[in-house]
Amino acid sequence: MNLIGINRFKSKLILLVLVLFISAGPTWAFDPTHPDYQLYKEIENSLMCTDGCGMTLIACDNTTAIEMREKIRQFINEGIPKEDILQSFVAIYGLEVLTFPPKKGFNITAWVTPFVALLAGGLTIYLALDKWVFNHEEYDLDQDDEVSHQEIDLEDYVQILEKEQKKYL
Amino acid sequence: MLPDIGFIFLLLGLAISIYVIAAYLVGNKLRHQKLLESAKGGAGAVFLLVTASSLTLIYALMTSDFSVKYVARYTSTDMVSFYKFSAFWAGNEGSLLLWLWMLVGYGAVIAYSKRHQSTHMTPYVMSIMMVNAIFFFVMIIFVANPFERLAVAPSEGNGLNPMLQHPGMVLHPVTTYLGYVGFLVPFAYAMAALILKRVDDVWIKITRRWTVIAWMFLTLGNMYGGQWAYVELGWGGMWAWDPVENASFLPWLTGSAFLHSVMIQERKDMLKIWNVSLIIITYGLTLFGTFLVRSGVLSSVHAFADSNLGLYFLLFLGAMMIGSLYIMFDRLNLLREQREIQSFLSKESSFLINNLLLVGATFAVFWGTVFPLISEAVTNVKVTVGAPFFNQVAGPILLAMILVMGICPLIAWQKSSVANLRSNFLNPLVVALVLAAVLFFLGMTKPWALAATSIIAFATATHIQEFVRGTMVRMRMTGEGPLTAFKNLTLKSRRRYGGYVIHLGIFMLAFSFVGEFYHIEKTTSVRAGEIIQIGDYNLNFNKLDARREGPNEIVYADISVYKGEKYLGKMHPEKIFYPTWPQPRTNVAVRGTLAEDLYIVLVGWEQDGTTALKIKVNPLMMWAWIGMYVMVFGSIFALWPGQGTALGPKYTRRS
Repeated sequence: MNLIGINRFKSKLILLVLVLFISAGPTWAFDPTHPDYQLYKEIENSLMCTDGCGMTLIACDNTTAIEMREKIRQFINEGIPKEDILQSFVAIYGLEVLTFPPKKGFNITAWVTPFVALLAGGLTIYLALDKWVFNHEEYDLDQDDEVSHQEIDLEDYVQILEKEQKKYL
Repeated sequence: MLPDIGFIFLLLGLAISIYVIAAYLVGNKLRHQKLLESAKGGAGAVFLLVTASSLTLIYALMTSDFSVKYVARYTSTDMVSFYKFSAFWAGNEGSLLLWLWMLVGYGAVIAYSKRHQSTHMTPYVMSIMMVNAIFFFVMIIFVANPFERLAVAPSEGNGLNPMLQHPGMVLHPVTTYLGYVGFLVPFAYAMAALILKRVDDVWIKITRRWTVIAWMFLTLGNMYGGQWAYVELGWGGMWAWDPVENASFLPWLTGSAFLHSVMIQERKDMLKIWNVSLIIITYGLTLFGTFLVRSGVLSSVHAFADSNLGLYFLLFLGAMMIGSLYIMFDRLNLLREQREIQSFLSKESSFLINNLLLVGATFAVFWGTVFPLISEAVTNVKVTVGAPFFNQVAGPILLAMILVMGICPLIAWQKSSVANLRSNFLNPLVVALVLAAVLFFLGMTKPWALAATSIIAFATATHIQEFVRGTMVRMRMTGEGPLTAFKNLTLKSRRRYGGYVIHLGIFMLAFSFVGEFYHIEKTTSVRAGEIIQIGDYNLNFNKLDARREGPNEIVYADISVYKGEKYLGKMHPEKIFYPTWPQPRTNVAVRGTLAEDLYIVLVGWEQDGTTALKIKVNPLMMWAWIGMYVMVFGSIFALWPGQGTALGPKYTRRS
């Protein structure tokens, strides 16, 4: 940046912030047009920043994140596959560095349990519906024997039903 | 002196809250009207006292009374008044006071509401509300006192974290709390109904408006939080599946399920146990969220630091859950109902699927949120569960939810025929399939993106078809013009069409997430005069410059933006340096259109002037914000008093 012509305040300010805030590095990431761009983004999305900031690598721009990105870039340029790149980070920082639980051992329960619960819920609903529809059919059979007692109510019922079904024309 | 008075107001509020419970319960038992009136007055007094206490804290904040520890910790003299005011809820202590203020405010409205006094539920409802208020009083008075004084007042305060000095972060906590506290009302009515052994749908009818309002505010709270994250955190997205974000999403999901399942109870007198369970879970999840934010058990960029309040919230949550479940199980025989459904293919069954998916999504998100703790307990390794997990697990469930939202409106109550379904679904299905084919040939080849777009298109088409068909039927039957017919159709059934508008808002939000599949990002270092190319954009980096605004120093990048050859204007991503804060604040530059956002972050710079920029092109982002306001509009439309808010016919059998 050309500092000539900037007033004194700005010069002081720039000097101050240059001391306080020097973080720009080289071009870290792949260009979106680069053939390995998607691979790079997938790996970036799979890792946490390792300095304890609690942010995922893809969201973090601190110095550690910059160094990690540079490392990923080097790995990709060396032709190392995605899984091996992730494993190299796991070897150094442990499983915590991944943004998701690995799909093996106990951690597989993280992935499976929600779908098992959903299936169990679906089965419960199916069985309940089956029973409730059966209850209704059974009641209808009973009513066939007692039509005369229910005529007025059923008429009302049909009227209501027709009124409601008009909404679905 | 004044802060001490604010504290005394809280002590008085606590004492009167205890009296309110006693007076309501004793007055109700003895049928002593004067005592009940006194309890009502007490609820009003508690609200006035907490209001006075809150105003005292606000006054201390606005006048920079640094003898108060909270004021010194979260404000400084150079802050603008707006953010001095919002510092009221920036810290733990103040945010609890805000929560309490809302809670006793809702309580006062219930106590003085004449509409539902005849149900005899008010004494129990108010007692449950006041039990919650007492918990917050105790926390504020004994654990997190916002009026705590410093032995020596500093000449200047620490100032507010710059990241919180943003309109989104001003609105986010207020709306979220209004949502959280709002769900306490239907919970309290459900418990009161069970205590009184009134297991009909009266409590649901009374609280429907409260539930929708709570849901609307929680929607706004989540969306404002997302907006803040988008422009303030600088990572380029609005939702990261952070534990704290999940914490406020969970009650939103169960609250949505509750809003739908109560319709079955209203129409068919079914699902009573399920509805009570859902509102208990929703209320529990609001407390669980508060526990997560204040406990530090899970790492989050949003959590309150250095707080030991989490344990107390966990204990309170446990006590309330045990109490409410005990009452529910004790009344289980009363909640059993005659269960029957005419057909598998009916609106009733589609609502059950809707509930399955919403509760399934709740479980998936909850499971993922707490799994680090479970894995640590079992394997001694606290794994991270982040966006890739939730996108893969909760994403498909929520997509299925959108599909069900598309199907549900077209299935009639009681029974639908196949012919009826064919007639209703043909057009939306054709729209979805044609769109999918066109998009595929235009280059949308990512399967999930294509599936999501098609499903959203289908669901949107079914809803639009509902509006169009309804209007046409009305035109035919009444001879009205299209606009009049549309107006009368929607106004005469605002509950139904308001719900559809809310659905359309959700589709817009979902549509914005599809854009995430096609975002592009570039992080690069440039010198003055260099051009950055990303997508269709050419960005001419003119210079890095600086300016002063009040006491703050701002460094910004000056960038001319072109789309192809067309000049669009300048963008200025910034870093703001505050004299009272060690870290600068990032001000993202966003140029949004309906098609896409151009999003630029000033990351850093070097001594030679090389400037690092992160640039993203986020397709469809604006649809998220439009969807938010559409949802709010739909909620207000559905709630607005007057004709059209009544429920449709009941389908219960006469005995």
